[in-house]
Amino acid sequence: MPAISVADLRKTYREGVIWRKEFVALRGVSIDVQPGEIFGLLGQNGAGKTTFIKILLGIIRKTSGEASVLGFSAGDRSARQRIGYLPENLRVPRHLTGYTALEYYGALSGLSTGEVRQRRGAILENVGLVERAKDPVRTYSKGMLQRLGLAQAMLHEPEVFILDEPTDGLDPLARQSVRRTLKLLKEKGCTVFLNSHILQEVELVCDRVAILDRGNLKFCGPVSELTTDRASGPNTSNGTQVEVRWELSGNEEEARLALASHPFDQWHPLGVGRFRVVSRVNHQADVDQLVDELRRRQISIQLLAPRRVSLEDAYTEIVAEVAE
Amino acid sequence: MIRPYLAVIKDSFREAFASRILVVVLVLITGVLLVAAPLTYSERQTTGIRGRDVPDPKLLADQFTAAARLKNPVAEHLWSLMSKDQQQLVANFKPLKEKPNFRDIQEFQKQERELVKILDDLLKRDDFYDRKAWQDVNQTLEARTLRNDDKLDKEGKARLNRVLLENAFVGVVEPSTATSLQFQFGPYALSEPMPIRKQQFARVVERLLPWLVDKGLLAIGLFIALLVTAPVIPQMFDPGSLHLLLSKPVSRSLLFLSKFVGSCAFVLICAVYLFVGIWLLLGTRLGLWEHQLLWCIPLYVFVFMIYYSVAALAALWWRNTVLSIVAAGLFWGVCFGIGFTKQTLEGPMEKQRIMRLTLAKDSLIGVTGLHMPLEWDQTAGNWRQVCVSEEQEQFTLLLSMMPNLPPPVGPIYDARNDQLIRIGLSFQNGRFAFVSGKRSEGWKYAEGPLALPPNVIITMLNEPDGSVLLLSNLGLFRITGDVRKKSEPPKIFGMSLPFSAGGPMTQLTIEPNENWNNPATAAIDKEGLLAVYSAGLVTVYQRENSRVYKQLAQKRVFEKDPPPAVIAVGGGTVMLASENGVVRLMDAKTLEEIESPQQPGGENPPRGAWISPDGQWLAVAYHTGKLWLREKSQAWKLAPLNSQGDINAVLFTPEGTLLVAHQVSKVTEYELPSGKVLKRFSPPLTMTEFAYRYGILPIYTLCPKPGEFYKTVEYLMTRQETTAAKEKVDNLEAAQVKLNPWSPVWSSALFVAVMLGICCIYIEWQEF
Repeated sequence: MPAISVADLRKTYREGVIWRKEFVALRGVSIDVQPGEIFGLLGQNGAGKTTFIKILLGIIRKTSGEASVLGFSAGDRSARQRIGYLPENLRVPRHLTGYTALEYYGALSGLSTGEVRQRRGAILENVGLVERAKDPVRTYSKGMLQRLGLAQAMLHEPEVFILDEPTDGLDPLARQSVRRTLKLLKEKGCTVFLNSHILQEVELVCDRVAILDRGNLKFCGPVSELTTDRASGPNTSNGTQVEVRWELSGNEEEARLALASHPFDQWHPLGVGRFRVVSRVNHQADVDQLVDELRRRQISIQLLAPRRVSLEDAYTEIVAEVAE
Repeated sequence: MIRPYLAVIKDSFREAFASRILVVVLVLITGVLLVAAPLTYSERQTTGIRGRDVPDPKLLADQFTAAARLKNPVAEHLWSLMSKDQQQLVANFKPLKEKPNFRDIQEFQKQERELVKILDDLLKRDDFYDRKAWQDVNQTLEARTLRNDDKLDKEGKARLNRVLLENAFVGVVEPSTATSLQFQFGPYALSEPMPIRKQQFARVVERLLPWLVDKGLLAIGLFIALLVTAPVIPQMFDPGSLHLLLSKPVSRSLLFLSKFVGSCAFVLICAVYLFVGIWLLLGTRLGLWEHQLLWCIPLYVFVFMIYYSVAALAALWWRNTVLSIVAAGLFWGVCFGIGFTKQTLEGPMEKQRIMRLTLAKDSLIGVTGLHMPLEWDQTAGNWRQVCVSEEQEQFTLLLSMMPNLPPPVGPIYDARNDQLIRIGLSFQNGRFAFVSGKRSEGWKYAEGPLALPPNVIITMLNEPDGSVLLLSNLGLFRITGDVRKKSEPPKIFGMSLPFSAGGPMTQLTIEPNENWNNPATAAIDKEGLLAVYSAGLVTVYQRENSRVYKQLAQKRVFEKDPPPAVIAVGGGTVMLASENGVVRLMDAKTLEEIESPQQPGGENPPRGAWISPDGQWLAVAYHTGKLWLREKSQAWKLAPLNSQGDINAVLFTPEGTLLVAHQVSKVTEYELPSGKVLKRFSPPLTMTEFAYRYGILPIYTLCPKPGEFYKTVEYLMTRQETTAAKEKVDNLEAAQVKLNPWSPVWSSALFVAVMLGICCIYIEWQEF
């Protein structure tokens, strides 16, 4: 059973009584998040990410479709009992300290004060706040507040975490700490649903990602699929063209002649007698042939690799395609 | 599971305690309590005399100067005690000019001060009392008791002298309370001793304190509390806070309600501190342990909830702190406006209520609180003013605005002359005069000779033959002469009294001779048995002959601090209903109590008591507008009448039916014991009444009344659902204000429930 299951989810906001205005935020989104995986949700502003999360948490009602968390209908109190949520721009009442804030949010999640006191030390240690736990939160930096938010989300030991921009405003060390925590949660078998603008973070921690664009699901799959497949060229009659990145040394003239049997571009000199080039091939046999030809012309092959694109590139490409 | 909601409430207390404003408010409250802490008082015997004790100083001066001529031995004795200079001062006492200027008033006041000073000095003298001089003076029980006490100290002697002075100059020197209170601020006396008993002071505190606290400290306190707590709900809607709260496994409505309740923590802390402080101060400094005052704590937290429910709904709607405060302010304005409009319409209407009924043969006569006699005009289906001067008609509006009008004296039907008689204010000379109207002249107003002032008159009663008796502090009189004849009556003790020859009144003899002191009231039955309640003493008199009423039985009902009461007599029974609502039934011949005292209407003060002519029915009407009725042999029960709760006056007719005056000017005749309506005297509603009854009253009833909770507190402290306009009440017939103590509670509770219900529906359905 998926930890989060969403099928054909639609949401239309309606405003006004006389002059009714409608805005479609989600247009039939279907996503399954498996237990124990870290799932990232990507999308531009207004893509529908927040709407998606709000439906999962029961903050707003869906217009149609299905959405469930751990088998419970999204928004159901049993589902919310099993979710740890960190909102974007968390605001903690100013009169609370780190400890009393955890007591407050723990009680809201149904924990007794005793249970909170038993758990809070380890959790604050984990997020690196234990030394400031007795200080009022009004003295906390934004990063510390985010970590406190993460701590309160972990306090009642939920099975699913929904984290909205968890590393927003954190310094690199704190981000690393959050990444470590997320991996720890994954190891414990928890499911993490991540909504982040920082694509590098997503790329680093997520197993799978989904890309939303103006309410439509544009991609859902492993990060590797997105980054590798994006490197593939257009399909040909013989199959899919693959881009191969070479780093060569030797005579440039000879090298160009050796690679001439297949299209190549992006010729970049790397130094005297060294250069990088990307060629497009159809089969492994083409690669073997090019290697033979290069060696025959006494060109040294320093690197041979299929070309990878970053998640950011892939994301930009997908969003750009949609725009076109 | 309530843990999450308790956590929200607990957090609110945490927030309140962390608030610097709370510290400021608590410091302010401490300051107020500390300032009030040195206030205390001591109780001492009332001695000496002050300006306010002599309402007409010229009258008193005249009594001394004319002492020998008038054969007033007390005045003669006191005159002899004065020095030559003092005698000269008294002899030269000049009356205030008819049109005095500022200087004249100053001169008069100077004379007044000197006269009072002379008298005050005399009261301190050991030779003030002279047995021979006082031998013909009716002395009160207090005077007799003090006189017989051989071990009187200096203060006791001074008290005796004061009482003797009052006994000798009835109507000229105001009667005083046995004890006075000296208020002090630390070691400093705040003023001269106030002629008020401790019990009366407690009543003043019970009545005044809730109002003062409500309109003073709490008005400011609630405003501060609203300013402090107004941001709570808008802050809750901050997305970074709200989404996290809504993601928790809690009910949205209960979460909101917990926040709402929690926001009252601030007020609760302040209210506990303030009221426990006041309670301790009253108890330790003034000896008044008013435990009921502690009810203010939950009540005023509830008052805050009323305003806060409006602010909360506005905050939900607009998510804006300023707008929520503005909404609460507007709400206060609306409540105040409705209450003010009601009061404005109600004030004059209350005075137009028929407060007494009487029969003049076949005519039904009523009299309003404005002293306006009315006759029911069957043809017109309306009341008709009778026995009213043109000036009184013209000044009706002005009179209706005057507070604390005393109950009217009369009208009473004089069957022998087929006329109505009452005591009215003469617009010609500003004194009280006999006013009459004959049926043959269409009850036309006719002003007669000067009469006793109403504060001296106890009541006017009809003897079995239809003659009119007038009972007063000065004695018992029968109206025998022409009440229209304006001949100047002889002056007795310098007072223009309408005695015997020349006046319409004949003084009757009471055996044994006795003074009737206030609080006093009287009733007579169809056999001529006269029952008088006077300063705690019930006496029954029987008519011995045309000039003598002889005491049949006497009983002291109240030993100390006699309360005002109403009395009725009939069928061999005397019924006495005292201010605290206790009704006593006594045998008319022996004054033995027939049954143990009861309180059918609770501790509420009665406004009248009646016994039917055949003695079979007994009725007590209360200022709450409720009428309790019983057959003599049965138990008291709330009369099963439609008008119950709005009843002003009652009259048993000779035919055995019951006339009930209710609402403003409606009268209904009921058959007994069925309660069947026999006849309605129902005039058309005036525009004001219509607007009040069908416009303002329904709105007011449903509208919350956050500004009226002092009435609930007052009720809890006094257990009385009505409150007198004056603190010193001698006549229970005087109009009292209904507190309706639970009306603010239920109407406000309903309002808060509706507001919170709307909030909950909104928060459940709204997408955030």
